[in-house]
Amino acid sequence: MPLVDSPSFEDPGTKLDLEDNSPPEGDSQQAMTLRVIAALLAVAVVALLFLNISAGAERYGTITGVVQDLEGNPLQAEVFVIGVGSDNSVFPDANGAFTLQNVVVGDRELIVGYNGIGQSVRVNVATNATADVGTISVDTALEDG
Amino acid sequence: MMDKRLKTLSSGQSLVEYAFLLALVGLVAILSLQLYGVAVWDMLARVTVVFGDAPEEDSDSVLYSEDFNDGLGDWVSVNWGRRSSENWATEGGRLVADRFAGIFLPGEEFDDFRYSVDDVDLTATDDRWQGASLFFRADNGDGEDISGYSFRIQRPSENDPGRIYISEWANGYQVSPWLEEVEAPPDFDWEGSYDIEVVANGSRLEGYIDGELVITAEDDTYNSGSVGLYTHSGSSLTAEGLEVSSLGAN
Repeated sequence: MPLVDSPSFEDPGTKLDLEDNSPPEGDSQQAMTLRVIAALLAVAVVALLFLNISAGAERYGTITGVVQDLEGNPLQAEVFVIGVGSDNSVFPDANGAFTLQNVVVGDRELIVGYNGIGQSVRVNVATNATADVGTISVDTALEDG
Repeated sequence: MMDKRLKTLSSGQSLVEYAFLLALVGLVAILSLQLYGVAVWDMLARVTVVFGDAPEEDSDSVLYSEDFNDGLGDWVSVNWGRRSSENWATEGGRLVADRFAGIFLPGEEFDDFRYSVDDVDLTATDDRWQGASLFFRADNGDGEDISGYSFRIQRPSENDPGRIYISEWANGYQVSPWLEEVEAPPDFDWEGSYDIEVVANGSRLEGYIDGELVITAEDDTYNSGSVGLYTHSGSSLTAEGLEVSSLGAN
């Protein structure tokens, strides 16, 4: 018998397991799938974070109009918006025309204040757009005692 | 042995990945809800209430009170628009106010509450505009312009049929039209003294005189603020004290 065919060359006790130790092919595919899902979710998180930030950012528009008394005379009344972004107020010009800028978009309550009374006008303001409320006639006889 | 170690490591790594995936799913859910305006913490609070004991509602607890036995205390007199008088004082433990004057409680923030002024006594100084108003959910601004709500009592007089109304204020202007207006109760004894009270509960605003509901209004412009009091141009006022209390389970 040739030496190479001797049974001693095949020792079950020290035989190395030459089988492939890598995970089964199915496990590799599962791990890859999980990683793809994780990557997609991570992209979704980033996108949602961006959208949340964009939604929270304030957008502004402008309101214009004319203020007069019941006789049609221009009136120097204080014009402002209640609520968010309403720190600014304006007074109409000599013709009663006013422009109120930097108004946070949305449904807003415009106030025309004169002699202690504020006349309320509802107006919807859109982003980078001008909302014209037209002519506001103020009853100057109203008073607050 | 090495195979077993390799398999254990492989299992542990999967657990980490699964945990990471769950965390990402949770983040996506939370951010999506926030984008649609859902308050996630409010939702969690409601869920815990469903599964846990409902929190006991407080009975009416006093949030603030002033008996004016030691002066005006924390209250400050103010000029609001055309209200130029600053004549507020205390006398014998009672609040005393001249006509057309206002006081305000700075540094407080109440959202839902009951605000009462006890034992109010109005003295006419003119034949109209005899009354007083309670400011609530108010912001005194720079001390000159007030924003918030007022519960206004205008008692009947020679030139005034008498009205009660709840109105909104913005930057020192009383907003017209008023939120709600009713006639003053015709059979009420306006010459005596009475308790005036306002209740703010969410968007519902209620006015009471001597414990009787006389007016309600709905508005959500202002959600919180402090309190104030002012006299109208046709009367002066004295009062025993003021109190702000929470709304209990009653």
